[in-house]
Amino acid sequence: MTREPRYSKEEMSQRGKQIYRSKIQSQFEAENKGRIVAIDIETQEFEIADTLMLATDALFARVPDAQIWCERFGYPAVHHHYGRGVTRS
Amino acid sequence: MITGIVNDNREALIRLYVYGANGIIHEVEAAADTGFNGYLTLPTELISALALVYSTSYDVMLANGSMVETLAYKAEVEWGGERRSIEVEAEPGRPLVGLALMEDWELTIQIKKDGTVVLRKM
Repeated sequence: MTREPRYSKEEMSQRGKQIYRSKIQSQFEAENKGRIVAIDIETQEFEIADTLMLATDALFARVPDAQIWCERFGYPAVHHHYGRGVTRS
Repeated sequence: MITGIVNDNREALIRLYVYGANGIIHEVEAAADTGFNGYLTLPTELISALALVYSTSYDVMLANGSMVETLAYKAEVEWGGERRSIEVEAEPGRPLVGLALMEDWELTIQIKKDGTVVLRKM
């Protein structure tokens, strides 16, 4: 199968974070610290799971053409990568 | 057990296999990166060549605290004789293996040129 991002990285981030902060974070963060939420920025459907794979697979099962933004509850980012450079191609 | 070697650039290199679409299997030489808590990074050229399917976008935090928006792709890899489903992050340069892929394994590195890299399942 093929799947492509239909939005720029900036729009994915902006819309995903807006849904996370307004509809998900306050209700689910306390009981789900460290877990992943996968958010479809178009339908605002979401799935919470222990791993990226489980969360995204669960959301794709319900919304096959989801455009997914992920967050990790209680952390500023899904992953950290300390050796990675700031300049990106 | 997974074994590798430290090169003269102090990279702890190990080999793994990434499964692409249509049965393509690509051997990847990757550096073990304990500062990375994801699974694996691959350059976009290899992601395209393997026809990996786009999955999701999310933030990755760098050492200086800044955030980088990252694209992740579904992939299967052979790791220690097991086939595993992971998410690969697009990142230029040398492929990097992170702690999520090494979870439940013990990593031992002789940090010298031609030193051994050994991963044993705990």
